[in-house]
Amino acid sequence: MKAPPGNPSVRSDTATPLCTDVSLLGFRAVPRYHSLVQLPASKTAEAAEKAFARGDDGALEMVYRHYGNLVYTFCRKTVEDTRAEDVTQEVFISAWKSRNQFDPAKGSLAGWLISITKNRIIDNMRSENRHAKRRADVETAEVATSAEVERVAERLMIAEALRRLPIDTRKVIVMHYFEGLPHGQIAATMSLPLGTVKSNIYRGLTKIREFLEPANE
Amino acid sequence: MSDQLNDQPDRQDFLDIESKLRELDAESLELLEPPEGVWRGIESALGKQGAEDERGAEDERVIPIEFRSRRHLKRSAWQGTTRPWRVAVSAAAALVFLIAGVTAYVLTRGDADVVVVATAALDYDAERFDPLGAQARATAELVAQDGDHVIRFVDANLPGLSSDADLEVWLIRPDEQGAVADLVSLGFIDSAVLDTLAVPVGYDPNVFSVVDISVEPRDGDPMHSGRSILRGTLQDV
Repeated sequence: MKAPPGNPSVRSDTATPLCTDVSLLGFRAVPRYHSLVQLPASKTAEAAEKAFARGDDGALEMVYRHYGNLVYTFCRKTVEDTRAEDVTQEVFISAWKSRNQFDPAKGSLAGWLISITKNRIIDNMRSENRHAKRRADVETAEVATSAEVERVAERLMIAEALRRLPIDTRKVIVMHYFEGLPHGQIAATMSLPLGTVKSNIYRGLTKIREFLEPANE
Repeated sequence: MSDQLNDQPDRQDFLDIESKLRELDAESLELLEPPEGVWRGIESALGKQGAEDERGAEDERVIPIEFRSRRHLKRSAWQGTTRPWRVAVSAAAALVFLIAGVTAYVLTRGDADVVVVATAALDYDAERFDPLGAQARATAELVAQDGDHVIRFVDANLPGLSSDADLEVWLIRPDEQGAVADLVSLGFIDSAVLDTLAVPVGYDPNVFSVVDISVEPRDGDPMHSGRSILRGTLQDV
């Protein structure tokens, strides 16, 4: 139970750095845990998507600030580091030029950007393969690498869906699926009724599915 | 483990998602920040660089980042100023204002040991914040006091809450993109009695530079609820 609004004029004893709380999730190994516990991203994402769809001034920068790390991470995981920056630039330039094709009703902007990035990455791979001039070996390798690109894209979309969940929902999902904690233990750790834990997980899975489904169409 | 979800009606629909979630690891969730040059390249390619230069510097207002650190603001200002005379004039003006400001605060408060070193105008963001803060306002002052720092509030109008929630004050360390890199709770405040809250030892206000007030349900969870009502970046006086 949290302390009520305090009367003491100075209360340094209430300082609760979240890095301490992180241990509750057994998540010390995550180097940037706060990417998980920061304020819900869904609101800013919605604002960015609406502005982008309208073509507002500053909308591209808004989208870049929100999704630049998602696109760049995708590139870093799949192309050479030196090309990752170029491909990231190409993705956002391409997205802005073809923004009329983005329809929020058909899916999230994150999914649309991931799709553009995937195409750019595969184009980039093919271009590099052509330069390699080792046709027989390259064709086999390209299939395997394209599958890897798909797998990375899928993981990033799941992670993005997770980031958009409300913090409480996200916490129980992380504890259950990452840490493998049973519902009862999560309930005990978080001092929540078992039913609340289950409904939080159910709600989280539903939201993740809603986020992913349009992108999978 | 997950078979405890059996009592949910359409559990089968989630099997695929559950399987994907289990495949994730910490590395899958970590996002990398692109170098600043990437954005500049995009702007340049789209022909916006000229307009940006005309504005004289990076215009922080168009960046919908949650907030920016003072360090970032300072760096941006220096980067956007390339002429030596502008640097000299700016530095002189800043020094005059700094001396005047500090002197004024010390004199007006009549206490040589208490100096307001920075202030933050806390604003409500209708897009992202809890509606309880719609009419709220406050200015936070960072006060140096006997070698320590405290945060106090002036000109504040904060919402009264029901008995099952409190207002909690946080200092946030933003990363370069304005996302929350870290945060620390300073404690609770009452809308009627504005307390002074100590900045914990080891938390540099130059780094933890964003003041945030949130609504916290009394649910036993010490983490930020995500329900901010006001927020602002400390700026040197």
